[in-house]
Amino acid sequence: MGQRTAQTEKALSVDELANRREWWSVAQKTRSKRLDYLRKGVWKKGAIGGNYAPGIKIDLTLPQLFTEKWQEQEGEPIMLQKAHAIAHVLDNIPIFITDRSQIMGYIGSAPHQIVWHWQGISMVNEEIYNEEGIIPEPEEESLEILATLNDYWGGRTAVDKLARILDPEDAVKFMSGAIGWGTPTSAATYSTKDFTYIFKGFEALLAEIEERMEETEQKLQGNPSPQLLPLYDKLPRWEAMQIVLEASIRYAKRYARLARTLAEHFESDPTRKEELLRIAETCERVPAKPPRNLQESLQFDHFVQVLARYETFEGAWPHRPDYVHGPYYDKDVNQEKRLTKEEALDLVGEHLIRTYEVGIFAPKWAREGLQGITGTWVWTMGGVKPDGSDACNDMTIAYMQAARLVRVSNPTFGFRWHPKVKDEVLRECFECIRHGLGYPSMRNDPVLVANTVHWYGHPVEEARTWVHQACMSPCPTTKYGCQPMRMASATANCAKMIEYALHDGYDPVVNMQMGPKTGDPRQFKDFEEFFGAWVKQMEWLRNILVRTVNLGRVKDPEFFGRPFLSAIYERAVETGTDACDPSNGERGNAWVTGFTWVENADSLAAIKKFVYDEKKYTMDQLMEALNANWVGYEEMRLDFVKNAPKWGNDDDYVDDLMVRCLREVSRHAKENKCPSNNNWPLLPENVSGNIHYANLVGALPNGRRLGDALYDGGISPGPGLDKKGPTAVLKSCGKFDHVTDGRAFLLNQRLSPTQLSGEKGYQLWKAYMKTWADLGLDHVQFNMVDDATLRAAQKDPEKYQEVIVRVAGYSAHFVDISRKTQDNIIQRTVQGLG
Amino acid sequence: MEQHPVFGVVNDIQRMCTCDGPGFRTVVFLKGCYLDCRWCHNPEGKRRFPEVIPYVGNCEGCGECLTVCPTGAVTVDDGLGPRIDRGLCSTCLQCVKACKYDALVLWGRIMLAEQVVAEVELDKMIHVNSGGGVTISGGEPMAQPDFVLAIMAACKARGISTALDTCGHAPWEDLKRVLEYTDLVMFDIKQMDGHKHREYSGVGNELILENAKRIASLGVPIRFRIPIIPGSNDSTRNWESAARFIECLGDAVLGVDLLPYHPFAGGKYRAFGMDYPYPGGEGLADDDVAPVIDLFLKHVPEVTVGG
Repeated sequence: MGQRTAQTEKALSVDELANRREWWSVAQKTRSKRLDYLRKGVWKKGAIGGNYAPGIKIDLTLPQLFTEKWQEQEGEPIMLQKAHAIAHVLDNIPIFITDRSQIMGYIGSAPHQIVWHWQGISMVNEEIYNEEGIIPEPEEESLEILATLNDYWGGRTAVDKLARILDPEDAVKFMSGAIGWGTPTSAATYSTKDFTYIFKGFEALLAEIEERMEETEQKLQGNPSPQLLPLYDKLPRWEAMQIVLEASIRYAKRYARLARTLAEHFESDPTRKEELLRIAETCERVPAKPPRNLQESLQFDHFVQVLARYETFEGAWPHRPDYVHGPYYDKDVNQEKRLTKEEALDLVGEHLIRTYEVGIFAPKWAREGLQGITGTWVWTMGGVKPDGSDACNDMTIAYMQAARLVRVSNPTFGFRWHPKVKDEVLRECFECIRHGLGYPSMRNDPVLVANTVHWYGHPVEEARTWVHQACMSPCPTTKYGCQPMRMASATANCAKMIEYALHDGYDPVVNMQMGPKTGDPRQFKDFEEFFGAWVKQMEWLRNILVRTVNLGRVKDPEFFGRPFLSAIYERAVETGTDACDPSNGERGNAWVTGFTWVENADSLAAIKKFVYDEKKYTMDQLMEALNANWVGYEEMRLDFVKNAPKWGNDDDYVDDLMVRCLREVSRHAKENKCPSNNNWPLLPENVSGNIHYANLVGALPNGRRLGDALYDGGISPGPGLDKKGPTAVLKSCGKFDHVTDGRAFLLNQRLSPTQLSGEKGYQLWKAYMKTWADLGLDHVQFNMVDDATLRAAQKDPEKYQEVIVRVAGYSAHFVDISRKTQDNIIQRTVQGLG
Repeated sequence: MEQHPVFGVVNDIQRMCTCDGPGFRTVVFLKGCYLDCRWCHNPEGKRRFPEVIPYVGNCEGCGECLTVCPTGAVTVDDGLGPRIDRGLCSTCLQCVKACKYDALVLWGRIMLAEQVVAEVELDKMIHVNSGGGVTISGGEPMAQPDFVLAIMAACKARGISTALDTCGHAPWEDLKRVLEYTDLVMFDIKQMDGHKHREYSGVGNELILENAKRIASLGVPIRFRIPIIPGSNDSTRNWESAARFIECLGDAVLGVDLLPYHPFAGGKYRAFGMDYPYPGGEGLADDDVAPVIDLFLKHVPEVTVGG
């Protein structure tokens, strides 16, 4: 009787908390003790307002282990040299098992440590000296170690090597920081992974490699001919793959041994003892052999992700875990009943926490662009199977439920919506959004499958396997579809297109001639001439980025080398090539990320209307005002802000210009070719580049001043400039084709949570989603936190640690974001559903 | 009959509203009201004509408005922002144009019915998908019956569902014409006691209650919107009386939406530099509303809080 009362009380208070939308407390009360412990015990690795949390230190063991072996193997082919070094790390890096955890594997030697990847670019490596607080104690000793490492790696990193062959003019312009960012090397990259291949087990992959080697060695005994010569290079590559695969199996077995030792000699709790023995059994089994149950499949998966990040800084996490693990869940929970739903949820929740825990050091500028998180880890959920049928399963639901229980800001989910998704699954998506997680973002699957076929010619069955390669771009997870390397340096600061069109290719902020000389706009006779200048600047900006990236791409196997990734890439194993070698059959899936894109349409519309159509101002006056950064021209500036047409209001005047710009870019996207001779479409999105570039983009005709935050991204209208409500935004965005006019288009929508409560709220959201789908949009993400909460969080961050908001392509804890970004989020129009 | 262009005064058009009828609504707020409720939440909606209303907090004291006003209607008190003498103001809008800080704002736009309909039609997709439509609200929409009629008729013709949010104080002839194009009436009942109604809202409630009966007898679906105003209508006797009245109206009644008093309008009054005549303290707690819900549930099929 007494127990029953207590239960009722508990149930009531959860309801009350839900009514107050205190979701963190709801999660605390409803999750298992294990998840509660694991969630509270995990170190936060994302930078808070650009700074790491107190206690976070970089790991020096990893680079030291790596470098000592690397130096020992000097003179070997790069992939082999690296394989030895990685194997040395995997054999010697300290490992640990967190109490109550069931999934093993961590990058670094202690849970508070983040990885400092040193093989990318020595200039960035040296920034570590300016990083307060994250150098391990004793600091002096650590600084000496770092200096020794930097002395060795200076000039030897991937970008250092690339810089020597880059066109110097391109290099200087790129290094100005004004036009794009990133490093054209797989030292900072991300890769699609094909788990249907990987799950054969590493022993099977090793057998396949062995077979290839034997076959090749036999061929080499044959008649001498030019055909034989390339085979000599393949052998050391295969050997490198063997070395890392074997080391990976040993790494897993170290966990098995530790778990068994703990169980047999230290653990007194019989339940935990049993768990530890199961962990030992699991780590003995995977990744050597195929997984047999959910714990093994999750463990295999996590080992692969961790091992890939021992090799390099993988900044995104392309994955479709519901599809990969769904069959094992079904077997364990539904068929064999080895696991209860609650036990499965513990594993799924921990999978999210173990991922959240991964920390990799990033320089300040990158941390500002990716506030609060380590990387843009967007996991893909839902969608269809290769035959087009609904792929949602119980694991889709389990991930959504687990996400609400553990409430981590990374990974986030992108949901592949399609008309056949069942209502119960859609409700789970909605619950996550309503609980203020900020995810899943909703992706229009039929549109994106068609888009993936259109741009690269992926067969439709392969296109249907797509995952988010980073925040937004779909990539098939098939033998020839997988993208081993995506370089963030194909990220364009698009606002520069309009800025350079106004300034004859000159950059008034960094003070140098950047783009081509397209003429003084004061001499242009009409808008068409102006638009022509914009087109030329757009082409130049894309060309310089794509050129650099293409070069980095083909040189990557020579300058960097990825033995582990190659070993899990079917086409690399088959051909004895580096996974990043574009000659091994990769179909191509490249895109240019377009930061600060909408400023172009709004600025062009203002110029067209005020200067050319209405002749309200002369180009002279406009240039004068822009050159003065609008200072002294406030009345005129307000006219440009308030009275010029703005994107997102269902106004054809500016919307037509947006469509025209996109079509010019899409034409050019087919002229730019990647090393696989495929296209380079544009993908407008911002992450938080709108803040990063605020001080690098000068005054613009949309009324923006140097230093003002740029629009928050993708094809979202400027904050407060969408005056006609959410339907008008959707309709503007529906005016171009989301299949042929670009790669994908990010749209942010702030929703007011009070209005979406209860069953009515769900029905309204569904109606919104139907309208979105009817208009053929490919993406939308929702921010469901109200202004009052955000303001309160600014004042009292301690109390609002759990508030998660959407920032462009990913979600972050609000209090971790810089004040400027916070203000920007609040300022975004609340699309008041009510 | 010859078609004349019909125009009226619109205060605001809000989109994707979820509180004023089913689905996503586009709510057209008209200007002008027959009543004068002390707790009124939309003081800018009372007068029938466009007017300049100061936002005192935005004023930077630059004095531009004083320079441009041809009639001397604007005065600026130190720290209190601009004030407008309505007797002198000719609504020439010179001050609104001159003000860089949005401290003088024009409320009420004269619009053609077809312009309003065009704005509403922008949202048609989401109306249809969500089972929503247009809601004409106020002020009191029936202060501009021809305008409402023209908007409603045109919306209906375009396949957009219509709702009328009214206090019910309007000539039956006008209401009857509008009802022909109305899918749903949201009808306010503020007070069952006629004397108190006159005391707090400026007019008696006889016409209002009579109209409610007539609407119900025509069979037009009707929801009653009942504000809970502490110190004015918040008595069991009043609720009993209202519930019984509604119960007698028959099948046309879909339900009752209780609208608990909240003090948010205080900020608006302050911004306009007006005194809030009904600063009724904090908003109502859930516990205060619960017994009222229970009471109404005994008499009507559905009761919501907040609509």
